[in-house]
This record gives sequence, C-alpha cells and structure tokens, in this order.
Amino acid sequence: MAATKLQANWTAVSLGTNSITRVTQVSFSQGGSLASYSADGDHYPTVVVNLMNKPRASVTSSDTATLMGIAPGTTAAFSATHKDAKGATGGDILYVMANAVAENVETSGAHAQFGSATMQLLAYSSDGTTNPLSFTRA
Amino acid sequence: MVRCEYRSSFLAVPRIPHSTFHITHSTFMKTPDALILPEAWKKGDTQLDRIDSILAIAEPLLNVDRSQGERAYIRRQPGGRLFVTPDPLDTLQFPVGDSREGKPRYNWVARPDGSEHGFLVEDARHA
Repeated sequence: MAATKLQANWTAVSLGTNSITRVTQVSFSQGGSLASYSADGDHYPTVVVNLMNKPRASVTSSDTATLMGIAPGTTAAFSATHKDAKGATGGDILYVMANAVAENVETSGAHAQFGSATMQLLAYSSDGTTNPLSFTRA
Repeated sequence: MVRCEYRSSFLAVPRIPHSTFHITHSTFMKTPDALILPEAWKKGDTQLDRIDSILAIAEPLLNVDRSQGERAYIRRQPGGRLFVTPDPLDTLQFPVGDSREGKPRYNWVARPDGSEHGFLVEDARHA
C-alpha cells in the first residue's frame, strides 16, 4: 500500500527512556522569532530579520502519571512518529528533538471527562549552531 | 594528489582563514559522515515528498542501511541549508564546554553542485 502522504495519530513518543503512551496531541515548533529595527524618524521597521530560533515541542497524553512523573529540567532527546493516515509502510515521519528540556507539566480533568496532562519542552543546541530539531521518514 | 580548497560550511561555522587542505583521491572515495545540501533541492507537494526527495540523495551518500534501522536525519539550518547525518544528535561544531568548543567537527569539502561533504575530524566521533 502506497503512503497516503497524510499523517494521523502519533506513536513511539518518548523523552529519553520515558515512553509516553495514550498520546492525543503532539506539536513541534521551529520556534522562530523576528527582530525589527527602526531609528531616527522611522514609523515602521526598516529591517526585519530572524536572529534567533528556539525550537519547542509539547505532548498531551491521558497517561497523566507518566507525564507528571517527569520533573521540570529533565533533559533528553524527545522523539515522536507521526503515522501515515492509513498505516502505509514508509509513510511515517519521525521527529527527533535533541537536548529537549522539560519546562512544565500540567494535568487537568473535567467532570465526566478523561483526564490528561500536557508537557512543554524547550530545546537547546549543544554547539549553538546546530538545529536540535531533526526529522526523517520512519 | 588532488588539491582542493578546504572550507567550512558557510552557516555559522567559523571560516578558517586562508587555510588549504590537501585531499587525496581516497578522500573522495570515502563515505562522508555528514552532508550540507541546499534546501532548494527539496521537491514535491507534500512534507513526505520533500523529505523523501532529500533522503533519496542523502542516504546513499551516507551509506545508510534502512534494513538495519538506520536513517538519515535532516535539520533545517539558517541560510537555506540542510544538515544531514545518520545520527540526530550530531552537531556541526564541538559542543559548548568541550576543549574544542566552537571548532568544526567536520572537514567540509565543497562540491560543484553546491553541496558539501563532511568528514569527521580526528576524535570527533567521541565528542
């Protein structure tokens, strides 16, 4: 079966040795930001440039115990596979965020609803040059 | 012996001033440890197509064996360049805190097509 070139659902989500299951949401952000310059009589920026990128990720899971067990500051590679919509071989995209640092974990649950927890991660570059966010075909 | 100018990537890797690097013919026969590819080489309408178009070039060059679970990992770098290696933890430079901090981990060889082939410098595999 050929790849659908559509992604649906996540698998093999982990932060280091912490396997995260019951995943309902994963997001990766390139974390780009812009700096604008203006001076003298300018009323609008005369230069807008991307000077800094701070790649981020977040994961939401119904396995609240696992996520809440991860302390802020925990550092490891965060990886997640975005599956092909029909499970076709070769259609999955694997993301790996090196040097991902757990920033915070929140858990919540409404009455008569399943509870969930969300963890935010911020990555650093060990050399200041290499993008910590990489991807490949799984 | 083929004489070839050695230069570091024109990303944020510091350029070594006026240095030249003698490369033997066998250097070109070696499998590179890393690649810098122009982002313009991406082709396709979907994200998977674009990833595939880069992997189709990179994985044979890096001698990646998917049957053994190996993959080539792509990182977008400033300046429209893609840094591709078989290990998602690879870096362009030695890490902060290392005695070689800020120095390139690869000897980069510029190719006529605009790509660069990187060969790990001595002891870089353990950094």
